[in-house]
Amino acid sequence: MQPETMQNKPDAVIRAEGLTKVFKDFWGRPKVHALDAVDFEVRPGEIFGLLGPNGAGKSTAIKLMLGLLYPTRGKLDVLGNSPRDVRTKERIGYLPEESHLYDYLTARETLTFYARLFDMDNETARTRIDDLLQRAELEETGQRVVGEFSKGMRRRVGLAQALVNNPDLLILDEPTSGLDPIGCRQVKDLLTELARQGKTILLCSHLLADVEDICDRIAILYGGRIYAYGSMQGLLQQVHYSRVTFPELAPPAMSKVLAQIREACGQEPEVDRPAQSLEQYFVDIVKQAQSATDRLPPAVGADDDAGTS
Amino acid sequence: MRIRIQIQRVAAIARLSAVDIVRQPVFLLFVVTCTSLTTLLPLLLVHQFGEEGKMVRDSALAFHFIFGLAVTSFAAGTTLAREVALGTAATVLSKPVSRDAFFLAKFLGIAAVAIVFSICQSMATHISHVVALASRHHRYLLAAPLIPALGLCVAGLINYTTRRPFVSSAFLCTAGALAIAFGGLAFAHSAAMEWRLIPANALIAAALVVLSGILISLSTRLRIVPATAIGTALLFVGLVSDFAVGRFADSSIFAYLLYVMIPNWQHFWVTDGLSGGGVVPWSYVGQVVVYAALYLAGTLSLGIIAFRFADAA
Repeated sequence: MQPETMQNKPDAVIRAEGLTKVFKDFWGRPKVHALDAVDFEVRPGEIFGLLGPNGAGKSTAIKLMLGLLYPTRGKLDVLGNSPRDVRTKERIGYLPEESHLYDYLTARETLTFYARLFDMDNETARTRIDDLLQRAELEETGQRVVGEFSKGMRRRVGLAQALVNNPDLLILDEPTSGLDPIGCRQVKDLLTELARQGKTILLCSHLLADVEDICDRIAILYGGRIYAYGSMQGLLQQVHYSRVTFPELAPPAMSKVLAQIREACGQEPEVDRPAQSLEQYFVDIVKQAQSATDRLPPAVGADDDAGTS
Repeated sequence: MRIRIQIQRVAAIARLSAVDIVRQPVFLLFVVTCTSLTTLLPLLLVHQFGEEGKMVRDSALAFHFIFGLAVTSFAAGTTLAREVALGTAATVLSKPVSRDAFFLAKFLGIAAVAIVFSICQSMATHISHVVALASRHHRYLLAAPLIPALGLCVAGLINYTTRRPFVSSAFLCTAGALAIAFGGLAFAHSAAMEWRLIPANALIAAALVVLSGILISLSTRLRIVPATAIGTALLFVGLVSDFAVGRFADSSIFAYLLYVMIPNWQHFWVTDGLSGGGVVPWSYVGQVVVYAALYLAGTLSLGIIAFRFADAA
């Protein structure tokens, strides 16, 4: 199923045409067809989701976009150039699936190293790194090396290094992997904000709820081929059904409304109560708990009071 | 402008590689073991028959070569093959860094580590030599083996008070302690200093740099174990290349080509030249450095080509 056809817009940020990658064995014989004549494009300012089960070819596609692998056949343009062009990479930020970091560096040293790879003066780099450490809530990690960090903290460092050059195109492989629900929400909010600023984002994720929350368009890969491609709304919308949401009605009023709908469409309407997402519920509960904790007097003072009363 | 940026990138990656190696506990283990064994030599050797200096010298240079081989194998394996396998190479190559620059920077990082290791070992060799010759009249010199331990203690104190990473502090403190001891002995016992050892240490350092180039070039296509195995085989074949291949070089073009291709480590090993008060002329050192540079240029060129067309993820 391909509801949306490939449109060869000249301003596509990423354009793949007939992209094929075959991994070969030691003797040069084909071993795995990771991608098989894949066509897709990512447009400026959108959040594009590349979905698929394990081994579908998502990470291979990303590595081709970064020039880390050579395509066997087909054409791939990134920001109008070959992905192997070093200048193209000046405008790209990449977060790998696992946070591949140097374990013996601190968070600040890691970001300073990546900042040095771009043409950035020291003052700009320092300001940018301070800002990223603050956003990632890593300012207090001090002399601790990345190897001692939890998976979530490593993910934050990884995301910060992807943003160090203020990229136009952000390629993220499982950006919320290892993060707690609050961290996931913060990352999703950050990505939405970046897209609003005009950045283009391509992300791979197994967490479909995350993709559904933030992606404008998606492609679903299976066995190296695209089986669905298009806007989130276009792919998911059930066009033969309508939903009307209104405040709770008294039983007589509800009966009247249902009778009118029944008469208009000739079918029995379904009535349910909308539920908020578990993520939203969790975030609300944690926020309430945080504000309740903030209102409590300090623990030492409480003990003293208890002792004197 | 572009060249300045490229140099800046290469310098950043080379520095990171060196720091990453120096902060790994295995590296500290090699450095502390090698310098401790070297400074312990005067106490371990018995039945010296007036040959204390030669015995210490030969053993210390052998330690330099063997532990240097271990350091460079570990560093080369850790740096490129492991980074490609773990994905850190992919993260760096997703930045505006060409593969050639990445490869060269990795080599420079390892070469810097090999040179720093050689400087530490050279100081330890000189200290050991002074202790072997002068400790009979100056008993306090017998405390020299405590120098690396002193460095570790200071690093422990720094780690406790400032929470700085122990391993890198320990390396810096050990190197600092060796430098202070070396400077002090050069001032107080200048007559016992064996300055002739500097060219010998410099040649071993050059050999280690060449070995780094070979190992990192191999690790563009091979994993750590096969790359180190081939590197070690080349080391042993190179030590006997004069005998095994060199004597047939005049009569066979195949033997001649093989002789040229195999690194001749005998050029870098001058212990025999130091015996009997011999001195290694700096002109010889210069010739060997040129040989090393040419050999490196060839090896690294092949490494660059191999890495340019390799899948880096």
